[in-house]
Amino acid sequence: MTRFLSRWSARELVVIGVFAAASKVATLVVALAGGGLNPISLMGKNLIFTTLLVVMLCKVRRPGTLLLFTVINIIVSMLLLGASVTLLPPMLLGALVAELAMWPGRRDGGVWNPVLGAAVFDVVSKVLSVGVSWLFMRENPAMMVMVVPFVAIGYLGSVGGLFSGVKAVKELRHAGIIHE
Amino acid sequence: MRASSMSSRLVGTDMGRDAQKSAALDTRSRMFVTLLASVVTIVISSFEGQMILFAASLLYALSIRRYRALFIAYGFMAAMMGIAALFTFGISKVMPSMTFSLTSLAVPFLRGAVMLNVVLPLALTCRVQALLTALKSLHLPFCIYIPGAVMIRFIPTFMHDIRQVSETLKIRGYDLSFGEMFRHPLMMLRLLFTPLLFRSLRTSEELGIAAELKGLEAEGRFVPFASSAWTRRDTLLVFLAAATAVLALYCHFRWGAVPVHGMR
Repeated sequence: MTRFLSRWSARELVVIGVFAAASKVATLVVALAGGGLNPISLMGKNLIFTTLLVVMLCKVRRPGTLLLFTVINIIVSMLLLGASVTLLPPMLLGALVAELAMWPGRRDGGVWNPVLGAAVFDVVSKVLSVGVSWLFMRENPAMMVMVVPFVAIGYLGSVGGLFSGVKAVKELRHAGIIHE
Repeated sequence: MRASSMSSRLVGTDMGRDAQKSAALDTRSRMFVTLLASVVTIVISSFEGQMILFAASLLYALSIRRYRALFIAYGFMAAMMGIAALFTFGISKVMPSMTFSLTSLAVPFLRGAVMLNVVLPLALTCRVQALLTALKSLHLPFCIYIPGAVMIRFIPTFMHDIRQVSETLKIRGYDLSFGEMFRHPLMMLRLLFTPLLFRSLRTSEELGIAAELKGLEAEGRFVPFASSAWTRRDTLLVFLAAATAVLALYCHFRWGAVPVHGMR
């Protein structure tokens, strides 16, 4: 366990922390700018989150990075932002399934393995978060009818984020900021 | 004369600061309250239990005396709840099987209000350094502490960066209004997001090199910049929070078992 936890260098851990902060701030700003229940801002914040996730996974190519990123996001959100403990299972499970999906291609240098990881993480965490929404609104099932389309719209943004992530990584490789 | 008045003023300021410091609660106790509230508010599905949580959390939020911030936050939340209620009303008209009643919306809305009441004191009273010290005192593994600390440290910096980027865009003649965000969402995202991505990469490169040069590693020993102090007030806060949670749970199981207008 200790060996697993000490596999990341300080530089890689800093990258994970910076990207966690950037994703939190960017999604928060887009959500606030769009005024909450706005489909465009909902798509936009998911697009930004997935793009940042793909870039981070290309920058830190080590199995377990997505899981660590998720754990840090959850810890900080729970302790400081009052995010519910119920977010923990869907996010963790999503990250675990994504890590499993990325395991066979862990030695590939291309962009497709991180894209696969981000795609699996988005699908699993979104599906499970609908279950969490039910837990929050179980007193009024009518509100669930409103939640499901919004999660679906958010997922469309995540799909767009996969494409913009690939594009961003290509540009960053061309600029020499991300190496093979 | 002047020197003595100056020194007395300085002493007065120091004393005031000391008094303020002793009156402030430790970040860990506030974190505990937030965490406890997020768990208990999900468990309790009765109006009675939620009302107890709401009343106690409102007193906690009022204790920081930031009435303006609290008023703005409540205004924003009321607007969001109004939109949600309108949507629910619309759905009930389209699908008659889904009945609409304000009482059934009360519990989900109270959950949101309870979380707002506990998050605001944490967000408005704790400084970044206090959060970092609290995080260190939790004895988390190195691979979780470093990214967590970097994340907490850089959230305000990125906020500042976004403000600067938007100011730069305004100077260059771009319209960043709400309507423009609707008309050209992709362009707006690109204009705001690309500088942030490059900034993230540059910051991570610089900080990573600095961390390596400073010899940060898993077996390294860190000494926090400031030590945190757990006082009697913190113990009292934790005790009151736990007592409120127990009382709310008791009320939920004792009186909240009978459904009211489709609630539970």
